[in-house]
Amino acid sequence: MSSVRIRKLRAVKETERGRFHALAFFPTVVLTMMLAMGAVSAGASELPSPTGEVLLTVTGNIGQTNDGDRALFDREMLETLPSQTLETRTVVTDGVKTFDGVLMRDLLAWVEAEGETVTASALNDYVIEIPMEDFHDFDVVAATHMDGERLSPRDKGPLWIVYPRDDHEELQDIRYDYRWVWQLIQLEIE
Amino acid sequence: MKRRHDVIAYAVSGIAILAFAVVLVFALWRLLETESEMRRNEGDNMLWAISQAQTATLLLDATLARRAGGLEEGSEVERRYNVLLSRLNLLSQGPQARYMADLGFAAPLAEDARALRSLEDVILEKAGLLEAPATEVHFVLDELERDLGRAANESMVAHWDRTGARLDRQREAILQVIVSILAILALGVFLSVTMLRALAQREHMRRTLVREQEVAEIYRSFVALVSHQFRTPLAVIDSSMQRLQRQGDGLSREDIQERARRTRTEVQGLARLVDTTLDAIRLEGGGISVEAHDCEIAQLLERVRERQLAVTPERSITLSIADEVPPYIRTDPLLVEQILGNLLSNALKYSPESESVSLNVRAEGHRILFSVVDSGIGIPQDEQNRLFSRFFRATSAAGTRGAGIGLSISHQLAGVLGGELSFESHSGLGSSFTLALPNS
Repeated sequence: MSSVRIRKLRAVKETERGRFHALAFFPTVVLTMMLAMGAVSAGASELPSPTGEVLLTVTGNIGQTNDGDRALFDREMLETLPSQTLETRTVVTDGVKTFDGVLMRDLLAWVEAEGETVTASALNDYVIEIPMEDFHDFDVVAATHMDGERLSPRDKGPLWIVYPRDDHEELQDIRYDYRWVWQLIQLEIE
Repeated sequence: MKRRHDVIAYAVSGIAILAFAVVLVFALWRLLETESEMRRNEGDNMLWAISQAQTATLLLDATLARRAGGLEEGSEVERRYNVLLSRLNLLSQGPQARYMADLGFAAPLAEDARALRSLEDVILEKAGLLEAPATEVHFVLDELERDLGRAANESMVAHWDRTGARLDRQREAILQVIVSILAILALGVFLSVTMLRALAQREHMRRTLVREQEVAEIYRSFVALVSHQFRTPLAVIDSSMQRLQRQGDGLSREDIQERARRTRTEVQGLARLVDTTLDAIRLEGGGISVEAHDCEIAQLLERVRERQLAVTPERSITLSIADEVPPYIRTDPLLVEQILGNLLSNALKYSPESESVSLNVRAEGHRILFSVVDSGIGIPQDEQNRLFSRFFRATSAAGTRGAGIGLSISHQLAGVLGGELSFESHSGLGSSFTLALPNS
């Protein structure tokens, strides 16, 4: 499949040369995507069981489980999902921060989540409802690292729901700010 | 005086435009300022962050007490401890740190956090939980809880003060914008009125100018007319009289008769010219009144024909009335006769003496059409649209005497009667003038 695409790409006109060098990474991208999809589809067939400390519990209307009717994730399982980097300002820190983590929609797709709202709960008893469409409209990330440092439960870890605030005008709003759940430990799908 | 008035008008308008722009910019600036201020919501969630830290403190204290009583797992203590550290971290970062510094609580809280962390091993049971350190933990947590409580109070007061001040500012801004909009409205009305008045004045001046040009043109034509139409007969009269003076005795009776006849013809011509000129002036002043009554069309035509034949007995004029024409028409016969008489004398004047001229009547819809048709010299195409202008004479009529007033008067009279005068003409083939009158 990718070789066919590459041959097609070789045939691009001179005028598109500028875009061509960007596409030189195409095979790598396609390969990574295929690997990721492979990971996801492998996961879709069966969600592995966590071996390390459980960071996140997903409950509610999901198609994939590994502990009764729940899906548990340890760090290793989260790391099999394609990693996503996001640069943005936040309301509780100064300057632009770099976050690394996984896309919320990838995570939810993996457990085959079906529903309208996601209720996020935090270590500090904070509970908030987030509309499912947020994760499809925006590249919302479940961040595990900020500025290269792993998020600790003594600060905003292990997981922090981070919105791409700087990329979208409409996200710079207090009505989105409270959806940034830090110390995230549980998601309930309804 | 006029110039000073102009200068003042310009100055006032200029100031109004400037004020309009200034007030508009001011209103916009105030609105933008208010809008950006509304975006800032710093402090709204500070109280929440402080209260949460206070709660986390109390919960850790309670969990520690329960663990001491053997009611709680160690993992729960760790969770509570982590949450409290996370809360304190939050308060020591970014905007929160600045806020706490403003309130004057940054240092005490940092001190409390240090004290807490120094007891971490005790809290997490990494060291044996001795009596004294345990009490110390409670003491540190109490201190922290009190500081956070005071910070929460201060925060609330500061927040309310700020909110009050902000609402005052926003109210003031909104009032200023409202006043600005009213000013903009007033200035807009003023500028619009000024502009419309200037436009109207310009239009009025343009019209005046056009009229002045027309009047000048009329005067020029009139002067040309007078010099030509009046001076020629006067010259003829004068030369006849000169002959009589010089050779009074040497002239035969026929000669004298001939001179007298020529003089009288010229005088009549002059009298007619004076009459039509006076007519034109009277018409201009609106001095024409219409006296309509029923009159028989056939009789009317006959009268016009008779009158014309009295002047030109050698010419032939044929009348014809179509079958559909009613016997009577309600109109002012005097004016109709004047129009038809003028058309008829023109037709004869501008066609060869051998040719006859016809006067036909037909009905068409609600109108009765009187047409005078000749096969004379016609009117050049490019001069046809000026034919009804006063004192205008076609180039083809240059050799014939005329004032250029008759058709203009006829055209106006047709309008006075509620009808219209139109024509069709081809140079060298002849013309046909039609008076259309309403058939009541």
